[in-house]
Amino acid sequence: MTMPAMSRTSVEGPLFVSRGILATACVVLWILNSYLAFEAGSKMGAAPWHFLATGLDLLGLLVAVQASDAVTPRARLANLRATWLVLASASTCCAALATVREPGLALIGTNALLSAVAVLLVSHRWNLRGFVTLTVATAAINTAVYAVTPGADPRTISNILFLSLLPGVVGTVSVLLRRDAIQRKGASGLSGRLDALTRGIDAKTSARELELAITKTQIDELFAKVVQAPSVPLDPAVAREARELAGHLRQLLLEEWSDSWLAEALELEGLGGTVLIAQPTDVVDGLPESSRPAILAATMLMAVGATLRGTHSSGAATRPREAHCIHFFAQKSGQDGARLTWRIGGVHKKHLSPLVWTELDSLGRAKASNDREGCSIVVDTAGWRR
Amino acid sequence: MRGKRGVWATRRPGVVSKYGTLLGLCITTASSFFLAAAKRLEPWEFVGAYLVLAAVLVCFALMLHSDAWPQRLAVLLGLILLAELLGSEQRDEFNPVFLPYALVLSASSVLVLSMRKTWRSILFTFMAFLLVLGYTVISASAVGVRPASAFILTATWIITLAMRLGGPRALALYWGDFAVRQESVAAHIVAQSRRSSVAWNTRHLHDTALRTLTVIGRQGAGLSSKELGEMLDAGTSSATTARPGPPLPGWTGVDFGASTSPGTPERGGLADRLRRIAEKRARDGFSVEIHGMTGPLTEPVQAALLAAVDECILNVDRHAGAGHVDVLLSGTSDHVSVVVSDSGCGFDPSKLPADRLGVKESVLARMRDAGGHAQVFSAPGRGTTILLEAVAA
Repeated sequence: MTMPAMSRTSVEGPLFVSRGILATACVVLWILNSYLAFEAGSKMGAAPWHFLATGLDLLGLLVAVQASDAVTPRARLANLRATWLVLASASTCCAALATVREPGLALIGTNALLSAVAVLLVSHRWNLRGFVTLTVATAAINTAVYAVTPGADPRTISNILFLSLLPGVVGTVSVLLRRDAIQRKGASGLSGRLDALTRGIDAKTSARELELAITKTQIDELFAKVVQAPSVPLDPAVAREARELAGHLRQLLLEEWSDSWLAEALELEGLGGTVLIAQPTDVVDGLPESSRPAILAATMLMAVGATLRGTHSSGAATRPREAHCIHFFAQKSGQDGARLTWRIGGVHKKHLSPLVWTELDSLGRAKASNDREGCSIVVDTAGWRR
Repeated sequence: MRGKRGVWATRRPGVVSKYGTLLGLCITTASSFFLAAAKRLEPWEFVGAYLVLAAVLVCFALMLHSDAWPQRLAVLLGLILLAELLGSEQRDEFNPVFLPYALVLSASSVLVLSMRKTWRSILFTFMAFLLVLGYTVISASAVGVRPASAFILTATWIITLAMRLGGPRALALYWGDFAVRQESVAAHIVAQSRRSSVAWNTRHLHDTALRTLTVIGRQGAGLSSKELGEMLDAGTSSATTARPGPPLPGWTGVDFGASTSPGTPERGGLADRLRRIAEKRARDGFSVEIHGMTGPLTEPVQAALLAAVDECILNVDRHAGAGHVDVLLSGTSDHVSVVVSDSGCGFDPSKLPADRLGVKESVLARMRDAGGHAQVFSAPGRGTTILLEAVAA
């Protein structure tokens, strides 16, 4: 039970529970923002700052949705976050300029709230530290920009600061509470699962143990026989017996290696029939130890992930059969890397669990494509030198 | 103690409902700061506002234990009263108190998170929304300003409704996926543990019992009676054992004499220890030469390299028909490589029988398990070169 394996129970997946809810909240706030801006604009004549703020907010929202999408390559996320921050800051400036021309505090308040909720969406695939930093930065910008507008009221400044920080505080608390629950559930669930799997494997190995013990006794007897008469050349009958025992021992040892590590782990979970690992398996066995937990987790999530179940059945938690049959193929790539390919029948890549992409991202850059009959995912991993 | 739904103190709040209650507590508490900032309140309004605030906070606290409708109704009315006590000018969005006013009213939206999937609960929640919305619109109309706070209120209710409808399912999916990942961790640990045990035992059996059986199978050809006796006594050099892996439960008790793990590791660097192995393996007509040096290595890596090189040397001696083998050591700051080369008969690595465990397990898998890498370059009649690479300490 190695520590790296234990620490995977707390691996960060998506930062928040539901991207959909966050996106909905942002869209609702954007609609409200737009309505307030357009209504103010219609009363006071065409005011470019209103429209510009709304447009920038819409662009920022699109960028935030893109940054939170599980399929977006991780390498692009930093650029998307920076782009969003620029757009949000520009939108705040426009809203503040509009407020100077008196469309009321509703617009600047909603704008601050929209930025603060959008931070959750932008940071969905980030870590807690990044999220908190972005929240504070956004709140500082929102508050500072309003604070320098003519006629800014200290009470309103503190309100805008509160509105800007509120979603961040709620988000941070929810992440911390969930992380704590993960640690607790992880520790108890893992030990229980380990016990169950170990009991299962013990039952399977008892037959082999008996056979090996018998072989061991025969080898001991043979060695004792040779020790009594060690003159070379040995008796041909003894030599024949040694060859037979060697062959039998080799056979016993080979039976232990009939499957790759991935097939063996999937078999333990009862997924041997769902995931087909293309032969030969020597490349699979040659994959570095460091990448194996992520490969197994991603494969299992593709096969039985709750998100996947949720999209294909009305609450039934049955494990998928032919419809989600997965083919896994590993081939050598580059100097000592490998190219891993998953072919998932009957599933659109959008329906895969966000955790799948978290695991695949830890292996390398994942490329996914859809077709009529399912989707294919290819990941190029670094080799043992990584 | 579960009773009929909708009865006082029998509604245990769910996770989403509790989150909502905490959020409501947070917003309402914050509004107390804004209350303090509202300068135009009369003293009785100020005291009254804080009394109402205290009552609302108590109701929120009670909702953490039971979100029965009386608490929710009390919270709703308390928030409306609190908003009203902020004054009459706050409805105007040009007034600095507008945002606290809108915020206090918006805090009522967390009541949606306590909504159950029953008609009575849905109806109650809808009526609550109409009540607070109606108050907001009418009070804005009475003052003659546009009801901007009503729009904000509606937006927050829609957002919390989305949270109420999507939250439980999203949470269930999140925990479901987490459970699958958890299972994968357990499966990987168990499978890996089993394979490590099997690998260690396989290599060990190959390097001890199988080697000895092979020699006996050839009637002891190439060995003197004394050497054969030593082989039977000691099996093989325990110093070359890669790592004393955890014995597989099924293999416990199987002891071939030399299956004990090495005690104190031998002193010296890789080159020194390989020279000692070379001396041991050398005999008339077969010599081993060690060239070069490496930098410091971790003990597991060094042990794996020693065992793998020893296996290579034995293979050359037994199968290659070559009288000489060269072992070249080289290292950089981060990697070490060992090349074992002979000019013997060679073989086709792709046609190696599956039951030949020497190269597969004792060399290739051993190096892989030590975090390194091994490659076999050979062809019939053209000798064999085996490259072993690992990470330096």
